[in-house]
Amino acid sequence: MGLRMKPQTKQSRRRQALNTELEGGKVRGCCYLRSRNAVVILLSILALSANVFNAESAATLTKYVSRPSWKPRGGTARIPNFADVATLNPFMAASDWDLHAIELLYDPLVTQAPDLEYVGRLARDWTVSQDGLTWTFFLYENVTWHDGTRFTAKDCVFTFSVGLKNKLGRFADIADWVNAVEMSGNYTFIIRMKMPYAPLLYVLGRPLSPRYIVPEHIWSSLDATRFSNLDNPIGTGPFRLSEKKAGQYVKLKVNEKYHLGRPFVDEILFPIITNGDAMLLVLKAGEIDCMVWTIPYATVDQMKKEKQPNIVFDEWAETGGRYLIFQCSRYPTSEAWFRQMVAYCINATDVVNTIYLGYALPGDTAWIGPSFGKYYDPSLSKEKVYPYSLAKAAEILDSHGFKDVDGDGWRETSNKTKMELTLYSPTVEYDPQRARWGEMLANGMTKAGVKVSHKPLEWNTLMGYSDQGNFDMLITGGGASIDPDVLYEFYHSGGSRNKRQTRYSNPSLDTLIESQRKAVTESERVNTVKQAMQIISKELPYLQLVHQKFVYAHRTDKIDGWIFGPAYFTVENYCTFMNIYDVSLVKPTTTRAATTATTTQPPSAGGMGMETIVLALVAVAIVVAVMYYAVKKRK
Amino acid sequence: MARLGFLSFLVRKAISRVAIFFIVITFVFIIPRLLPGGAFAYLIENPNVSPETRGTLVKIFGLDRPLWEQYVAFMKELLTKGNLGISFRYLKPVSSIIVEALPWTLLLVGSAMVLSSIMGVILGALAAYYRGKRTDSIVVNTLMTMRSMPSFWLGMVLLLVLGFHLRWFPLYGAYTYGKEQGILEAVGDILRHLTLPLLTLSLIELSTYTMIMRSTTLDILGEDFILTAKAKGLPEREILFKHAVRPGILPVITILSINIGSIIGGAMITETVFSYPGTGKLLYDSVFMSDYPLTLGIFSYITIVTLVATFVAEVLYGRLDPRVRVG
Repeated sequence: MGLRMKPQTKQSRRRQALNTELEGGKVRGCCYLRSRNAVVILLSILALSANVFNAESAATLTKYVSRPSWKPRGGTARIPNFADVATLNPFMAASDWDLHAIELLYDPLVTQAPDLEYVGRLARDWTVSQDGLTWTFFLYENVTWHDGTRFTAKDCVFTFSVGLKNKLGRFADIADWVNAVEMSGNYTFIIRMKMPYAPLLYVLGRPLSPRYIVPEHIWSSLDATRFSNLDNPIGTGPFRLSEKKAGQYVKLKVNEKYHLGRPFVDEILFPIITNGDAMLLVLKAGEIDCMVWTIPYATVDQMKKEKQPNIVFDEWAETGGRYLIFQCSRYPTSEAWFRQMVAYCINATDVVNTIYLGYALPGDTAWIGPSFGKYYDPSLSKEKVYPYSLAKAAEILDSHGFKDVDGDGWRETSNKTKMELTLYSPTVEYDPQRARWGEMLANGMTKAGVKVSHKPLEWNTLMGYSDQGNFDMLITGGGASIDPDVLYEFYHSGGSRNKRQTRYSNPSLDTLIESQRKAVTESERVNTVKQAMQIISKELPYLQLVHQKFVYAHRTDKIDGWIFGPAYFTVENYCTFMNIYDVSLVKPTTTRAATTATTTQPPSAGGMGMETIVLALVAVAIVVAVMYYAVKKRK
Repeated sequence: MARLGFLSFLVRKAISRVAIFFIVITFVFIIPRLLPGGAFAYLIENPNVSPETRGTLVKIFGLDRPLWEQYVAFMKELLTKGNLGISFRYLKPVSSIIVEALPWTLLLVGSAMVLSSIMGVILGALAAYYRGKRTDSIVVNTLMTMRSMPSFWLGMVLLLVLGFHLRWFPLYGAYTYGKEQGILEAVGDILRHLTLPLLTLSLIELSTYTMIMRSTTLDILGEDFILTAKAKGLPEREILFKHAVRPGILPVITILSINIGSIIGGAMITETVFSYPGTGKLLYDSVFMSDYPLTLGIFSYITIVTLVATFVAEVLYGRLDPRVRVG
């Protein structure tokens, strides 16, 4: 069975009085006050003034990767990729399918573990100065690149310089915040910020797209924006490239000298399987070890009834959401009361149960959902703040003078102007759920007397409209950062999405969002974020309707040791790859922690499935046709 | 004189083909850049990159320059160096990407084309010869049924029944990935993996060739020379396959020559269902991900192949049917 992590870790018993936490990662607090003795207090104050918080280590990999003696080395894990690996350039890769391979070839300074803790990969420890401006990373000293060259802080300086200067990938998030990067000796890397920047650790270590470090001795002579890096990528990661066949597969082999310990499997094979239905059949046949594409809900329910052995389902609620964007530069969607009225026109619980078949959570009016841990406020859920009520919607419209003056069945604006709004959404072919609740919302608004037409659009066209702000209301959505600084992008008047999409502006909210970014203590940050959330919930430039759940699966009869948690949408993550092992190589006399039953027979469909019925009908039809022709021929 | 006339014909045709090629790639250059959404629209909701990345990539790849400037730069590279450009996504020369994927597409789509055209000619001829009888009825009804099936659905049914339940054929890929094999074993492995996608494509395309062949053969069977052949007492098989099929095959060759260009880009759905590596999926992804050079590169290959194939077909016409003279 996989090891499942809770989203929140417990406070260390050793750290109590002063713990400085920035953005979910732990930055060391230094003081532990037992005595009210003045000398102790004085010493504590002096210690606090020091430029370094405590040197307590970050969460280490040993928390997630167990190395008992019975765990064998060897074997191949078969992890499908939904598309070809187009590039192994960490600066330019944007696709999940490229990044899954890059994640194992390269290391970032830190990585976020499935339980949202931060694990050092190239950095064994790190500190932040009291003013929040200087981040110091103490690097492992036994790291080598795959070509044998020693890794040093010079590589970090080089990587950050290239990324920040060209604003490549997620480096763009911090390009305007970093003052300088430098090294102090070979194994200390320093980032100097222009202002305190609470989300830094998240940017450096976010799942799948952290800031990977590249070798200076190879990349210094290359154009980072033009280098595919497909031929012989040199990283520090736990695996190295063994074979790559375009459109067919990628094979990685273990890095025996990996500084954090050799992974247990010898190889990872990423076969390219471009069809989600076929991928599920391949999983059921036992030819791959996990799904990396979401399983349709109805299929999940059917598979659960079939009770197939050795297949475990992994449900993941997205960190972002499926939401509606209001165009706040157009009337009447520019008015907060109108946006609230729209929120009353749809029942999120109904949507969860009927459209998502229970595989979703109702959305939150202030964006921050359950996966944000201590920042989350359940009282701000959509169902609590704006429960479905067409009567309430009508009341709001009436109170603002939006009435049907000419008797055509549609409300006009308060100055008696005709009003017709457009609601864009993805098509049914692209995303049937969003298309359907778009229809539901349009119907709700129609019943409240607002003339609205629902128009599904092809995805890239929808994105174009969204990016240009060319809409009244537009449904989109997806995964997003699980750091509260995500509010900047969506709600700050200078936020990239806000500027292009919703164009909402609120100076008070801007100030709060800027403050949370610069907060030096966690409690300050939590408090500031929650104040911002109150404003957002009332202003509602985005209506987040649901957090969709995605269901994946993995097998346990060939490979085990899977690790899953809220930071990752599948079991395919760094901690898993460091922990998994080949079950067939476990010696029979040893006892292992996994308790799954093993079988060498791939599971059958079991029961009278639809395909069996169809086959039977076709067989009967053929027999009847043959008999008919035989009889006719005799006559 | 006849030879000079033929040469003149070849030169005229070649010049017109070159002109058509440049017109087509000009259109293919411009149209993706005008698609709704703009370049790299698919990155807008991508959490792996910053929202600014889209703008950064537009600048890196020169897409913020005026369209005419981009076109001139592209043409200069093409005409002076024969260079189709660098893929935005792969960061490699476009030609190398296409060449890597092409063999599998040629194998799959080429085989399907050959198989379906040969079977189409035979079945179409038989259906025409036995028009109104049971053979004709079975052939036409079966093929119409198969034609009305979506290729995705047909592929999934074959995958489910023959691949998953019966385990007769593999479920994905061009061969068993990561396995060391000898030459004979590898050939067998490739053929096993090829069977289901080949069957899917062939069954869908079979009806086109069959119905065309049936239609032209019906016309030819009414000709006087066929009556003469029957009067001479020639066997039915000889009348059909020697005298009727040969002239009747011309439209099939025309369709084949037009379809040959689609070998390169035309099996996207089948490649996706069976996870078969090829240029069809490559083309679809390049359009979706605003990889303009790769889109243009694939269409260039399609255009060249189509133009060459239709040219060859025109020349072959004269060989196959003496009534048609070239030049």
